[in-house]
Amino acid sequence: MNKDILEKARKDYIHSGGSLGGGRWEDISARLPSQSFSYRMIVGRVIVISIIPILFLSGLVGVSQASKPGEFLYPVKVASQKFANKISNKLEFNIQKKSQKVLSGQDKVIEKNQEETGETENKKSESPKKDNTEVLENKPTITQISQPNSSSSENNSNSNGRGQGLENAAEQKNKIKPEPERGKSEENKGRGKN
Amino acid sequence: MDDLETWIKRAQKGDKNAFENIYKFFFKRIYRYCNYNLKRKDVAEDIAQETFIKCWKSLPSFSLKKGGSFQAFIFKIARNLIIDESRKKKTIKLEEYLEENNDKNLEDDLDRKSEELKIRSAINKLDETDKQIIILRYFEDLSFSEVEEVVSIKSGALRVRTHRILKKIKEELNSNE
Repeated sequence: MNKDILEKARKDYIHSGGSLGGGRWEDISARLPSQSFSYRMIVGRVIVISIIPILFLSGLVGVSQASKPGEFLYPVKVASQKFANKISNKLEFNIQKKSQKVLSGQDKVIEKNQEETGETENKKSESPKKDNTEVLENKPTITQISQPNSSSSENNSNSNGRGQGLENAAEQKNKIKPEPERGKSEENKGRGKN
Repeated sequence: MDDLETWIKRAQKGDKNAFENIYKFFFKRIYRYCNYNLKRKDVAEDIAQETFIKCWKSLPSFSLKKGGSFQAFIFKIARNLIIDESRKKKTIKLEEYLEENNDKNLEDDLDRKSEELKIRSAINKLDETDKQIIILRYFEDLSFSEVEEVVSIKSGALRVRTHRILKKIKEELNSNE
């Protein structure tokens, strides 16, 4: 049944074509453009072939920017940054490099300082008494204060006696007193007057 | 078909004489296909010519090595142009237009068997893609793989769909009786 129907429909279809013989080739041949297909095809293929890996790489680099050390894409991130640094001599990259150097240098200095402080602390723990004595030795005593002109004072004591020696000692004490205190005392004096 | 292959290869290199042979070989079929779908001889002829010009332009992208069928290639171009043409004239409903023309044909072809006309009207009532499947598979004798290429439906689905279309036509004819 189906075959009969289709055969009849086919005959109808072929009949619908009418009596058009061959068409007009002359009309079409005049409208046909020259085929410069080889160049177009080659250029098109080259563009497509080059665009696909570029898109893939840029996507990979973009995704890798969010990666952290130890992750799968971190080497890609580092490589892309190095590549960008090489291509573009931007200040930012140079500054980053320099700052990294400075920071690493500072770390070394800090380490050295820590080592030195460790050594000094050890020394201190070994000889605390000596230090105290040194400090005490460095501190000026009343005798030393009175001694700088010991030779002259001795001479004076020899010439003027004990009274002049006491006066010299008092003068020396006044000299040792800090200046701001003097100022304060003067201010206090002024206030008192007012 | 060896001749067709050599013509295609020569035409791909820009040989217009080879393309003339292709044109003479396929023009009738393409014109018939366009005329059956568009139902206007002048428009069908224009579309058929346009099909060959487009075919010439896109011939370099066609590859026989990839198992491409030239029949499918040229019928696909024709089908796309028919769709474009029917879209241009969307203001006139396509079905109404076809029915009008069918009536005219009915008047013209009174001497034809009434059964053939019934079949034709049943085919015209089909969905556009279904109609193309029937025309290409049973009227133009394209293989399923070639129809698949033209209509862009997978072969498995295409076989099932073809079976359903034939069933639908049969039901339509029975209901008319």
